[in-house]
Amino acid sequence: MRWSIYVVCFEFDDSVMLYKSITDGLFELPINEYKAIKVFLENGDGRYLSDITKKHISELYLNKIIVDDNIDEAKLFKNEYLKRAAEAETGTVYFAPSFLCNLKCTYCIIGERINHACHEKYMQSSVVENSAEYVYKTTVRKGIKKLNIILYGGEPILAHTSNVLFINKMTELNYDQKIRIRYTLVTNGYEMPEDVINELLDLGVDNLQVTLDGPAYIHDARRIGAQGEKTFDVILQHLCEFSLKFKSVVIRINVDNTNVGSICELIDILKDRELNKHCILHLNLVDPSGYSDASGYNDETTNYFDEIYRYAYFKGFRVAPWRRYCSMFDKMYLAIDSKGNIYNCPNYMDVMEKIVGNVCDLKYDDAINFGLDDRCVGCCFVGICNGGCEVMRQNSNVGTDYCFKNVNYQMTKSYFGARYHRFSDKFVN
Amino acid sequence: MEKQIYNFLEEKLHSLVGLNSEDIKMDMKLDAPPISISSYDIVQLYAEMEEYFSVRIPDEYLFINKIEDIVKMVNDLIKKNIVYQRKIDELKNKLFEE
Repeated sequence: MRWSIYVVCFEFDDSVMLYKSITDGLFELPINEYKAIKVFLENGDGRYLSDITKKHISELYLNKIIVDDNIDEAKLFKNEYLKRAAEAETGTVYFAPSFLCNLKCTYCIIGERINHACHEKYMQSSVVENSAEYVYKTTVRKGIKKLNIILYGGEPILAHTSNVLFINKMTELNYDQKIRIRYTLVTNGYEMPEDVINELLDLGVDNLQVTLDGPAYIHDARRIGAQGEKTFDVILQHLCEFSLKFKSVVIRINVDNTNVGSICELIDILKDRELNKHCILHLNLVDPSGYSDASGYNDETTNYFDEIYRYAYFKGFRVAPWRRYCSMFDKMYLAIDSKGNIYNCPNYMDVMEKIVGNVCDLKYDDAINFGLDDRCVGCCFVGICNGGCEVMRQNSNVGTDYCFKNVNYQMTKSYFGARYHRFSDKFVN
Repeated sequence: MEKQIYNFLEEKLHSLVGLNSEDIKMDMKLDAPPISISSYDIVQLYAEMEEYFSVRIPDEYLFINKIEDIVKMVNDLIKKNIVYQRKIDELKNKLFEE
């Protein structure tokens, strides 16, 4: 027997966590137990093992943290991966009927491209209807039962008419509720007119994501209003006003080397407004890029996360687990822009050579091949990375060989350490 | 087992907010009056239940707030855990005793 190649070991002061990313299984052992098991796996001599160690080994074997020597895990994983993709019943669509935005964030991935593009400001109503028809038919054809629709942009609130038309058309097509549709509004939260939000809620948009990047003095320097105005106070007010109306609310925090030191301060502000009672924190690292010096993918940033995750738990927040996942290989994963162009990823929007079809001519190349690089197939983090973001590698200066392994290690360790050791240390308030 | 879980909750709520057993009802919620404990206390209470009943409570269950739902949830997890432990024991015998 041996450790699975997909197991990563996180050592803490007096314990060890063993994590298998492809099954999301996590086990914690006292450090001495871990050492005893390690010795057993090296020499195979079980005669002197205690009953409790034998039980631990059995549990780890049952959960495939320990596996037989002759098993070809990479081959099994690849087969399982393809099977899962073929049998998946979930699809995701990013619907972006306009790229107009009321913010000009310093790190916006599409900002520069969109500002220079001769784009349709809004989607024509015929294209909206074609989009709904296209999405519905493709979903049914692929046998998808659960569909996530992300109202995206630009800023989706500025394209409210198109969103309403799209949802109504989807509801009409899905009159027999053959497909379970879940709508999420991904907004910057700067403009949230009550009648608009209520209309979206009435239409079944009950998931909300809003972004805050730090306390006001940080956030306002990054997520700037289109006319240069400050946005933090208004967004926070909207969160307090509307969060309880939605079923699920995610506060996304984009973190990099320039704002990482202020995240605990933001957590305090959110806690003071009791947003911990209903909101989930999603801490996201800003991708390295060719258009901005800021990046979250460095030790300078990730070293803070032991403290940030622990502080968030200490303040009673639910925290989304660390993932650096690409979903391009799901059963259906696509983005639609204001011209009805279809892409395999929202980050490709407005890159002409990445258009794979158009909703109006119903031509769509949906043959997504198994794209996991061979070097990733046997990686212990493949379950939380899925090969990572190809767009980032292609469009930035990090290069196609860029690997997330070190960041995945640090972030996963910080996340699990905070989540399961949250009562073992005192915090300074 | 459900009675034991309820008693555990009763005892913890008494020490946290001073409520007596006759004041605690099955349809009360942890974050609403008269209990109204903070989200941090809720997380800690769940952690203590995990330790006492030797079960792992997934984070997504943290929003289960009503006392009767908590009792049912912990009871179900304990039942599942008994089956799981039995499987481990069988495997242990197979791997080490035969």
